Amino acid sequence: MSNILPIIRYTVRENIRHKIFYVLVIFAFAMIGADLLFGVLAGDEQVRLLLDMGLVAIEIFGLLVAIFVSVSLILEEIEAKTIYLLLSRPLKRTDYILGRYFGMILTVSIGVLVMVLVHLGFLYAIGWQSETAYFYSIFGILLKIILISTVALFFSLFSTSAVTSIVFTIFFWILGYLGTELKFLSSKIGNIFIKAILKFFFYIIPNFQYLNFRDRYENLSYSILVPVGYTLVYSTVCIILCAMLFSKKEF
Amino acid sequence: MNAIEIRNLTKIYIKKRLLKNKKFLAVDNLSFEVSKGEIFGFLGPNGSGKTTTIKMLLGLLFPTAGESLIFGEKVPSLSIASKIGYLPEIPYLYKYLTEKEILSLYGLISGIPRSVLSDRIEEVLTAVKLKTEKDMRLGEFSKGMLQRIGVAQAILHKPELLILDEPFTGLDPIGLKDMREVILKLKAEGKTVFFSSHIISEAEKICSRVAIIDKGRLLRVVKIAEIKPNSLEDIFVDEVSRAESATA
Repeated sequence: MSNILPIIRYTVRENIRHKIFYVLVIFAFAMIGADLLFGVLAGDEQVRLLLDMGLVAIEIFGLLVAIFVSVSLILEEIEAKTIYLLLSRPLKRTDYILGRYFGMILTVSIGVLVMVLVHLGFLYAIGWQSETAYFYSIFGILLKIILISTVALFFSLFSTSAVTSIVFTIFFWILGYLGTELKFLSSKIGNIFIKAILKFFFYIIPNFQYLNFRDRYENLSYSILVPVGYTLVYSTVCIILCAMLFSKKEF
Repeated sequence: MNAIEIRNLTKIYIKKRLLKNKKFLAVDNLSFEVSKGEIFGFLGPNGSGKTTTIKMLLGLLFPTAGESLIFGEKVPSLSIASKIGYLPEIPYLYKYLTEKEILSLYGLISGIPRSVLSDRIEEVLTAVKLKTEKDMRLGEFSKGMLQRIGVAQAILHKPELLILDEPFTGLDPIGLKDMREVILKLKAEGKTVFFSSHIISEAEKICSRVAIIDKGRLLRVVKIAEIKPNSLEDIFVDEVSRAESATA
């Protein structure tokens, strides 16, 4: 277990120094900047527009950074063969996976935090009054990032191609917003085979609807226990599967 | 107790194809031992199964059949891994980290206590003549410097056994001499050195014994003291040619 910490540390260092990370964060800044421009055009609705568009930008870029970083997390190490010098040491493969995973979550969280600070800066500058719901929304985004990262990591261990893993993850990401629709469809369809497939997807995809705090911005009367519990259980199961896949992997 | 014992080690790679999987026999029923404290050369042409064997010793690949033991313990094993220093053919290192950061990472994972880690890093960096560059990112290093870092990470945790994969490949004459000196110094300290190579002359200069393999099969184990000086290359060529003609 003591080996997890050094792995987390180098993962964060490596990712933060990686050009891709900067590019995506800069894109996010540009997006927030554009929101500001739209906000000015919107007149009275400036605060609302900047708030909503900024949250969307943080979520999309946060998730994109998470997907790209997670997919390349292990694949890049295998391709560059840097993994040889780690796994030939007294390092449990499970510790390696956990260290890489938590390091990645920490890196992406740092990225999100930077975006949030910039966003808040803009919001306060135009006279926004602080709302608890904003921070709930950010928390929801972080939970989504945790979920999608675990899914991306899982797919990256299945395939040897980063593109395939990204495509599968984005497919799950989109389906993650359509959980209720899938359930509704499965109840309406008569064909038992299609019904079973829809049900199967409903249960295995990460259900982002639990975490869409942003959609319930005006109504804070809900518990965060279920979404947090759901994220923990889903990502734990996923990480266990990742560890199982990784333990059999050859390099 | 031997440092390394390889017993009937076999590795078949399976390349997955859409219709029919393709099999490739990389290591074929390989058996030999490496004694404690000796320098043992593992010689063979390109693609003869040297790196595959080394990867199985390190637990990076799993054998299809057979087993290997290091200091009497079956590999892969975490306790054994801490006694091994490994230098890959090309030092695969993180280009975004500095040499101090990368050595700290490897040192901590190898179980070196934090309290002595900094001093130990200074020691190995002095040994590989890289002390001044410790805050430079590895992406800015030359090939020779990376090779030195490779050596530094392999000896960092004072391992009893060093497994070096093609340590002489791509080195200039000064690099070759330095590498030879490093290996001889390790032997003088009582370490066991097992290295793969196809540079026969270097192996003859420093090894006590060598194993010659081709197509994953052991052809012969040669004691350097029992052969005429400078004759290892001829023995190697003879053995490999005989094996090639027998399978042709």
